[in-house]
Amino acid sequence: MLLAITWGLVGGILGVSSFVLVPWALAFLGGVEMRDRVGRYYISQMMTVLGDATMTVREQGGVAIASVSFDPDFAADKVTIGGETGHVADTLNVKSRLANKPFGLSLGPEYISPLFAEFAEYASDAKAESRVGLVSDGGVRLDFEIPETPTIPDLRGTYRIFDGDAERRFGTLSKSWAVKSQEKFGKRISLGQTLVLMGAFAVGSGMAILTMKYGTGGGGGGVSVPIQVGLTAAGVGA
Amino acid sequence: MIPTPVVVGVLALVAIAGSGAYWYYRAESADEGFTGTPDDGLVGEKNVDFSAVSDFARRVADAVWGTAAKRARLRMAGAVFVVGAVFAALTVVAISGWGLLSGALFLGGLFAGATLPPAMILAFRDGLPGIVGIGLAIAGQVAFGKAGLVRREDGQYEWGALREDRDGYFVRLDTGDTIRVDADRGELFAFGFGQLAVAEAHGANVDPYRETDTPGDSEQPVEQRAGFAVAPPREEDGGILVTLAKIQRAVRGSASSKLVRRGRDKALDDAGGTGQISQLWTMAFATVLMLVGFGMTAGVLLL
Repeated sequence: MLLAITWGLVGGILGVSSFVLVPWALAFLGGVEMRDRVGRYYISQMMTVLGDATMTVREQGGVAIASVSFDPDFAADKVTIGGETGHVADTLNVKSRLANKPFGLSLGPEYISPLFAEFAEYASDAKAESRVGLVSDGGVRLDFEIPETPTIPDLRGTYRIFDGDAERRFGTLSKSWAVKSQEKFGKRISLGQTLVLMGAFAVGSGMAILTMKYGTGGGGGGVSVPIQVGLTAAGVGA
Repeated sequence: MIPTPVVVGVLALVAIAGSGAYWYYRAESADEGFTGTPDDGLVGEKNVDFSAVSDFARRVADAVWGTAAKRARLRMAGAVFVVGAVFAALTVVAISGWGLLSGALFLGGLFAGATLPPAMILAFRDGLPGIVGIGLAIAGQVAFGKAGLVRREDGQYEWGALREDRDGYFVRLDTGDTIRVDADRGELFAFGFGQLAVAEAHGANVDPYRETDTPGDSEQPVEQRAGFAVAPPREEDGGILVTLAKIQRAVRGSASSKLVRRGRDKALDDAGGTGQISQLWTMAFATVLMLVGFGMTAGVLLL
């Protein structure tokens, strides 16, 4: 019985590992069609897990995948990459879908597309070669060409056609700094207010002492003395 | 009981079949020349050097898997058969050596184990950490070897195997169309133990930015923009003519300070302004404290 259970456990372990190993074996043995099917299966599973994802271009030139979630306060997607949280907006309207789940390429604070990366690359080249921009007769040339066949553009260079130069973390930083700037105003009670309240308590106690000392045991002074003391405390008269 | 030699024989056959498939696959990978185009149905018609094999064997092989589609189907069927045979052989070993119950538990465990990861993903997709997704991306890249993340004309992304023929790289889409990618091997990203090409189709998606070539040789300006005379568009290299004016409209406001402003506004909403007690409340508290002080002191003195 023990050996049978052991075989069951072996089967379970093989089964779990086969989630990766069997498709890989099929991919390596089955040629490019099988590689395509197996790879797409994993990508579909990846998007199921991530739900809403971005492939972001790192400053070093590599790419990283991360899940994102919409942050209504910033009207942008919140993303944490390398432990740093920031936001990615879709100003260029290029966020789309991969395996029927929301997906987009991103660079810094913006979603980009390979086409815009190509625009940036070829426009930059044309500008460097004086094929666009101001021309000698005082006019301006705005047209340039991109190749008929898609290329692999330098995704990092897409920032060259951005309007601004904000970074992904600027929104979070701005919020953090603004919160810090409000800390002083956030105190519920100031030193002056504290002193006023302490003084009020002291005045009340003093009035009670004076009243008890001069306001009892005498004929007629029981009413006038506390009033005089009260006026004195209020600074109206002596 | 199945005799042990039979089991060993089955395992040996499996190993031989696997080795043969692997050799064949390697032979194809070593020569990536194709004679067809993606559209003529001959994609993958390879020029593998079969000099080591007799002409007769080659003719037989061509008859059996003479087309790319046939070869792909046979190779996939062979791969499934090899993997299935390995599990079947292990089941036979369990039954022949340790009884029917062992075999049944092995198969049950195998099925349960194999269905566990997809079931977990379906059931807890929102609760699973992002690292699982990244792991799956890496698994996909390992399976692809070389992959292409391409954006179709309609804006949808597809992540598929990056294929290669004599004209260069291309990715075959779900629709059956292909997107060609003009790139050298060194331009591919390194991602997940594989290589990745990121590109976008040039079709209807480029139309909003296209510019029309101005016929003739005249350099007479066609329009004025911000007081500047715009030179007539000229197509010179046979590419797709686009204009900065249209691109600029699309990227207007990108990477702006909007995020900064929103962050500041959110902080001021949550933590901004004064939280201090107002003057009126301060005076009210002072009166109460004065009365409390009076009462407490009077009470103490009366005791």
